[in-house]
Amino acid sequence: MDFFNLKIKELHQGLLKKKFSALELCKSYLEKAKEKNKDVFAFLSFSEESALAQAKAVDELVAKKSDVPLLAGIPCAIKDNILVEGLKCTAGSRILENYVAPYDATVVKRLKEQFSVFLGKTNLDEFAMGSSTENSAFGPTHNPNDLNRVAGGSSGGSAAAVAADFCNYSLGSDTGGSIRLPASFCGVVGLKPTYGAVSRYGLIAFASSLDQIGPFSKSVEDCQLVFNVIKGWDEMDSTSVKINPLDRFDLKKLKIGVPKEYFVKGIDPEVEKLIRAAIKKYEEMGLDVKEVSLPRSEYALAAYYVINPSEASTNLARYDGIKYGYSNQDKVNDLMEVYLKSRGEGFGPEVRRRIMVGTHALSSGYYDAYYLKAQKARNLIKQDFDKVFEKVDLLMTPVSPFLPFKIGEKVDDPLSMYLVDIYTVSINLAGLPALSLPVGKTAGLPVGLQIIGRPFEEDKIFEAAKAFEKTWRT
Amino acid sequence: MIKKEEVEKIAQLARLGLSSEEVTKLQTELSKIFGYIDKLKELKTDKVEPVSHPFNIRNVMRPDAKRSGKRAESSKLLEAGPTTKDQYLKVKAVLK
Repeated sequence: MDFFNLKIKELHQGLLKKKFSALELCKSYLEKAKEKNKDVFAFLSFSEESALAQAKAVDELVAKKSDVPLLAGIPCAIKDNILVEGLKCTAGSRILENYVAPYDATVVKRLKEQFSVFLGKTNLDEFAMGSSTENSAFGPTHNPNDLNRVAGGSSGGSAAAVAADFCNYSLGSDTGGSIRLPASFCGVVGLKPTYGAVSRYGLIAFASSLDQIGPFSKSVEDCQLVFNVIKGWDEMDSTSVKINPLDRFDLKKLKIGVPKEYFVKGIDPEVEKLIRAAIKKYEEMGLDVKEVSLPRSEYALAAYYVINPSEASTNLARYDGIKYGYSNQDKVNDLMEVYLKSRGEGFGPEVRRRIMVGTHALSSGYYDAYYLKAQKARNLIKQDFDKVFEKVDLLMTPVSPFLPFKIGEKVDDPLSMYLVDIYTVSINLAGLPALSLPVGKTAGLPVGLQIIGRPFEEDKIFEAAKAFEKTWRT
Repeated sequence: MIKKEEVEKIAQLARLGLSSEEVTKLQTELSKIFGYIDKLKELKTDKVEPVSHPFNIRNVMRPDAKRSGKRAESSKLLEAGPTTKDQYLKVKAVLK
């Protein structure tokens, strides 16, 4: 049976009506993933044994006619910077190559309570630092739409795994675009939730004021279902928030803003064409669409590349060769040498670069010029969004000015790689929710529309995205 | 251009052992990156408050209560340590 184009609700019905078993479903995905992973390299590791056991447990639930949650038996994949107890969690780094997670992340715990089936851990840029998954210490992920091209990053493995039918849905993390960019590049749906909507407990910390976990799926409906399971307050994350349900709203009455700063020189004309066409669909549906301005947009990337490395250099101080992870204690004389060798050898080039940038930006004499300045810029960028959201409910922009680029094309120029994130980073600085919706392909390469909402108004984003999906399918 | 000695000093602060080739490479790369970041100087921020977080969350407390199962938890965490002794992580001598 072909499970790969069925939505979660359809799979759920199939399991309840015993059209197929959870074990068949699990084996079918695993078989495909294991066969094709050598080409795509979406998975870093498979957890076949535990996945089969989880699937059998679901079949027992069905047989006993006990309560079967919606995600029960649904095969998923988890980005390898999110802890799943007993499985390796490498963060795509040599420094954690043999690290085994001692506990479950809150999101994983919630999915386990639903009896979802965990097929394995997916590839990422080392510590989620990158936009192409080429910074993984274990090799790049290839875009299933064109294997010579990148899958985007940093959650490239999670996006590619869904696009290549290696799993039904997956989880990634987004610090400056790391869910939306690979979703756009691979042609799947990806949501970066509002900061605080999803617990970060058990996510390997990168830039803590920006990081959020979110789902990838083929359809908007499935994305929403998974989000509804993982979201919510958690006592283990002091920045997580209790979310109140939205008041009822009429989709047709939503106002859409199109920020002009996101359509300037440098954007691929083919990308712009598809994005403009998608936005026009909303006009045709009767929604009010107008041009708006986010005047400080051009400073977002500079502010981001101060705040992100600063927080990263602080968070990554924990990898010291003593508590866990790679440690070089050969021929060393003192503690300092253990630090220098373990960190110098364990971290890859991009991670070392960001630690250097962050350490410099935070160091005495530079703090005010860089870090403090960036924090003030962050405030201004946030104010731009606050102001525009007084007039509109949603913003629509491209996810990236570029199409998926060739593997190797940008690796030698860190700054040109950073520029890939130009349309995504401000959303993290402002803490807003944003979704990447596939709206078409050009020359076989997918393009994603970014739909941005007010804090905790993910449901408006979902409804708008579903409306486009409907026109797309018919 | 950021000076070589400066790159070496940052590396020392960051506890990163770098080869001399990498120091040279980082000199160019950091100069380029900070050159881009200097764009922020154009922005007038005299009367702007810095923000460290998207929303105003402060001083989230939990009750100061004893947690159960701490011993088992710490043993599990210690398993990840490269060198341990009894219930401790072992490090090189700090005092001479």
